[in-house]
Amino acid sequence: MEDLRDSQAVRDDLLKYLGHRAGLAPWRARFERAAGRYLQNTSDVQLFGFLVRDVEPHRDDLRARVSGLALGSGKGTRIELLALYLPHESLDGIGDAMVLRRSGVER
Amino acid sequence: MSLSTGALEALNKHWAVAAIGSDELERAGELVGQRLVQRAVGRQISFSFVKSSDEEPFLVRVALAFELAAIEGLDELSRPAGENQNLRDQAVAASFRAFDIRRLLPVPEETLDRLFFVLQLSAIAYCGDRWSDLRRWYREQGEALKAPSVADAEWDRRLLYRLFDCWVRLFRKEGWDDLDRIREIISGLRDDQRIHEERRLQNGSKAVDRTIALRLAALYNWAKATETLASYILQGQPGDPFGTLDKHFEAGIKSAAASGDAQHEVVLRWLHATSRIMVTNSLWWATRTVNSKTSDFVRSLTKREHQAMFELLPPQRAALLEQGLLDQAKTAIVVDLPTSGGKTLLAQFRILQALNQFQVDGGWVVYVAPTRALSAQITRRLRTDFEPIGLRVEQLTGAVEVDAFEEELLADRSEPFDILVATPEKLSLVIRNRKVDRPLALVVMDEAHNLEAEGRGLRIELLLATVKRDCPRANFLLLMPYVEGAESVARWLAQDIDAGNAISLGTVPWKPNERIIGLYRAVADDSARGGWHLDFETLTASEKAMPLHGTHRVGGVKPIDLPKSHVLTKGAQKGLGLQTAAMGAVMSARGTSVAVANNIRTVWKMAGEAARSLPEMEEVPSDIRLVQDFVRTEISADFRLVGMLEKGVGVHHAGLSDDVRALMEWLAETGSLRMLCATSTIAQGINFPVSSVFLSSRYVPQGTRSVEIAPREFWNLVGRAGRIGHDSVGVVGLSEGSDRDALIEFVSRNTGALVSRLVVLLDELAAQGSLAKLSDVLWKDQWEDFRCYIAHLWAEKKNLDAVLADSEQLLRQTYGYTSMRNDPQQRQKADALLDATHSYARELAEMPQGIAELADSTGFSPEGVQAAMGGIGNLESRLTVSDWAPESLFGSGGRMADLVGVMLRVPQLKQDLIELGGQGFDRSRISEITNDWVNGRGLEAIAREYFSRENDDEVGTAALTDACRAIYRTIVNSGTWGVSALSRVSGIDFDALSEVDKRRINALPAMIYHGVSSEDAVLMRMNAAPRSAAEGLGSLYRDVTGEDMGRYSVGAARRFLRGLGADEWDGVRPEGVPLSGTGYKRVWEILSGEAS
Repeated sequence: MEDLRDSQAVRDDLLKYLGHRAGLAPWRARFERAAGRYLQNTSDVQLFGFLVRDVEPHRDDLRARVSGLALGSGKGTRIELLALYLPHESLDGIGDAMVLRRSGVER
Repeated sequence: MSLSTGALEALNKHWAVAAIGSDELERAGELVGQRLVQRAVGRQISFSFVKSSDEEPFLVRVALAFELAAIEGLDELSRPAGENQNLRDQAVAASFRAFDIRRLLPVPEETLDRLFFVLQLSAIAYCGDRWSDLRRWYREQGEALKAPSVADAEWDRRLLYRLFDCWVRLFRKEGWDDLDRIREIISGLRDDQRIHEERRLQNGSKAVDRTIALRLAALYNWAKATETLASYILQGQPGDPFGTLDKHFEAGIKSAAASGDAQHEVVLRWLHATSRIMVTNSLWWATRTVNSKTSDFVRSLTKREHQAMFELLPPQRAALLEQGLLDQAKTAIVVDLPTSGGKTLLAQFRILQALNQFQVDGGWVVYVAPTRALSAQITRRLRTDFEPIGLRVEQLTGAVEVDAFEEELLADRSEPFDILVATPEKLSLVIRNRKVDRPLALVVMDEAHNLEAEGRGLRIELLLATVKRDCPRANFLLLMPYVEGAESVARWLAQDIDAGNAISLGTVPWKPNERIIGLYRAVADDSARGGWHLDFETLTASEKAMPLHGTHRVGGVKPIDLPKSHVLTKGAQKGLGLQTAAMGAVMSARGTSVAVANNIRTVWKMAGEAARSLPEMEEVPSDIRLVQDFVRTEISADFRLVGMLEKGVGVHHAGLSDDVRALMEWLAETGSLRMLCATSTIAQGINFPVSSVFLSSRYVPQGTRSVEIAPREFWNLVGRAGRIGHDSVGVVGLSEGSDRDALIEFVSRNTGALVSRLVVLLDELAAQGSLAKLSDVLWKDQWEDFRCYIAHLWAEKKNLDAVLADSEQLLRQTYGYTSMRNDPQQRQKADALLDATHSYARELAEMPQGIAELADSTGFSPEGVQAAMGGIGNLESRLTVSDWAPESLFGSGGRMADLVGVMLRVPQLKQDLIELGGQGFDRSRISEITNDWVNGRGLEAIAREYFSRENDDEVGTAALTDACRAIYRTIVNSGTWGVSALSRVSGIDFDALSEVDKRRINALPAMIYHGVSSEDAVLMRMNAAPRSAAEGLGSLYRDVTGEDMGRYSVGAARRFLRGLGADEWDGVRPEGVPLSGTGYKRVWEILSGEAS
């Protein structure tokens, strides 16, 4: 999150990467509008942060990040942090489970 | 399709570019210019630009906008052209612009970032048609291009680093070996795969293993594509590489995307497009459908040790692939190409095609160059390139006449030449007298804009007209810079109305390099006693240079060591030559600079002051040492040029021999010279790139007058500033003097369309209201070539009625008459010309028989022939055959003085001779100098005897300069031509002479031209042997070949010289001269084009 907030190079690379994929994408018009704004002000971005945990939800999980990220944000930058809490100890093996599920095997 | 100005303009409407805004884009353009010049010449010029801290992020943002526009069309560049041309144009234009900025940004330090930065910048350059600029960028980089060490690197990293190494080679194309190494690298990777792959796939996590496997798959595909591309660039194999390239890049991109490695995916996307462009840029692709000679030629270009070539510059590619340079149906092609755009290569391809087309008939090609120096230069180039593929290239040396050995060369059917290099004057005699009995396949005319030159434009136009008439199958290729509306010239030359083709590349966005142009002036500087410095005001008046504002300081106080009073008097500018020398000296720190003055005296002065002020060279290059020894040997040990060369300063003007001038050009070409001081004649001799060009005046001498340089000529000269592959910015300056506004206006002038001299001459008459009196002024000098043109028709028809009947047709062959005839407003002038032609034909009918034929064979006008005949008739004693033997003509009491007396009556010769006579010389002195020259006397001795003066410096520079001018400008030209022509009109019955006598008389002019007294020595000199060794070589040649008459052949003599070792050269050099046997051999190799 800090890299995306602070480094224009990282944001630029991301934009270019999206540019390569925008060709026939349904979101192309939105991309152009957003990129046009970005080209006028490279701090005019909205960053989204997702926290995924499999413990009890707690405000402190985001509180420290919010205050850290808020400091030194460029003019026009908005950051939205979202947290997703999964059932206890369900994260381990989630990848394998997804692969199996895609191949039609339920567990 | 090549990038057009329209595509660049359309780009500004693209959403990403428009988001930046036009003011900001303009600012970015200015910043780019400023950064570029700062980087290129910031050490020599203190630019007065105002800097701000936000520049870099701002430029990055603008580059991003262009890159987004490029990315949008990148897929289009990764497939065959034609689907969506607009998108394709957008991608090229946007890459072109993005490269402008990206190349000025710092290279990241972190390894992976650095590798991807270099690869991506290189790809952007290719996609934007900027490979020549990219190679320049590569030369400026050091560590940035180094592949990281693979020791201890994981297998995927190792692959990446190796592939980076391969692509750096593909981009920089430093020669066959450099590229051929790619094959070894990839093959080494195959071996490594067996050792490293398995271990890299054991990470203890299936997810990680899968990601790595995908990454490796991407890298393997990339490697396969790399191998295919390298093979194609080197050998043109496989014939159609696109299928393989597409397959591997597409698979690679898919794997990289699946592995989640965005950086890798993006770079592969760029390289895919790049690989296709690299193939279509390559020499192999452009010539794939042409004949086998061309393939041989391309092969030899790729394998050349120095400056191997693999790809075409954008204008070359456009000419070949898009604009029909090799279209056989087009018989006349006019190429308008910016200076340094690589026109010689285009000519070479067309030459090979023409030779192929005329192979069965034994066709030949002539390459017409405006000066002898340029002829020699082009001969060297063509010989180096074409002899390895079995083509014979010959040059007609001599002044105007065609001598005995040239006759032999032209008529030789056992080993016929393929390509002849000649000046227009020489070719004119060859064509008019039908010296070659094989069909002329192609005329290549270099610097063809000379068609409009005041001095010889008419002669060139009429030469082309004569070729059109006398050689109906001949094709034409005219090469010229900055000519608008070249179609009309092409239409004129084409035998069939649809067979003309004008290839106009003068206005394409691609440039050989950027350029700044400005005015310089001396400014008082109180920081030192008698101090001054130079200011340089950059001009924005021309599109042909970067628009930079401001006045900037150049160099330090007293850039040459002279007090202020030499360059400023009460605030007024003076010593413009010295200021020019100072500019040249300061700017020489970044590469050869050329300082131009309009007279020889100023040139010497500039060179002297510059050499005095420049620091010693760290080490004098061996090339300079060689030339110093040559000058010491051929001219004098004390000649000033020797000392100047010690400081890296060369001199180039008409007061030097062709050999010395050629060696000066060679030194500039090899980068050994810091500075070259020259007269404006260099404008047409300079076929080599330099870093900067400075002019002390915009005027050049024209006969006895001084005229402004024509805009086209000016841009042609200053277009040499900046070297392809080296300097990113060429610097051009004009001395401001007291003419600031006039100079700014001069720089802003348009080059415009080419206008026939015939039209100009008639316009002048019309303006005076004297159009009807054309016949009355036809005797004037400016109409001389026109009279010769009509005389040629007369010599053929020998009948007034037939000439009158054919006159219109004859005039229709000319550009001027055709354009006037086709324009209703100009018809009156065309009619006047036709009337004058008729009345001149009647005059010819009144002349004694044979005059027109003699005019054809001598190159004199009919009036000149009559004057010469009159002069010979008035001699006290008749000339006999025995008077024409070398020993009697050039010996004491010989008839040379009589001949000079006659020459002084011939309009075409007398101007130069009178100029020499103006120095207090009568005909006997001129003949004495000629005799001394032919009899092998050294220049120094001639200077001492005939040209000593009281106020000369201690080494007699002025005397030597005068001697050189007398010989190289007057005697070598007018004397040679005169003797040749007079032998024709002297009444000798050539048909009754023995072959030996005939050859001996025909060899006389060449003896004067080359300054030797035997036929064998002439043969050596014709093959570029230095004069001081020519007689020695000649007698060795005689000894070796015995009495074999076959030895009187230019080709046989060249083979003899080629076979000589340094020892043999040592054996023939005069005793005690500074140049060693090895030195002689080397100089000969350079001058003859045998040097590799």
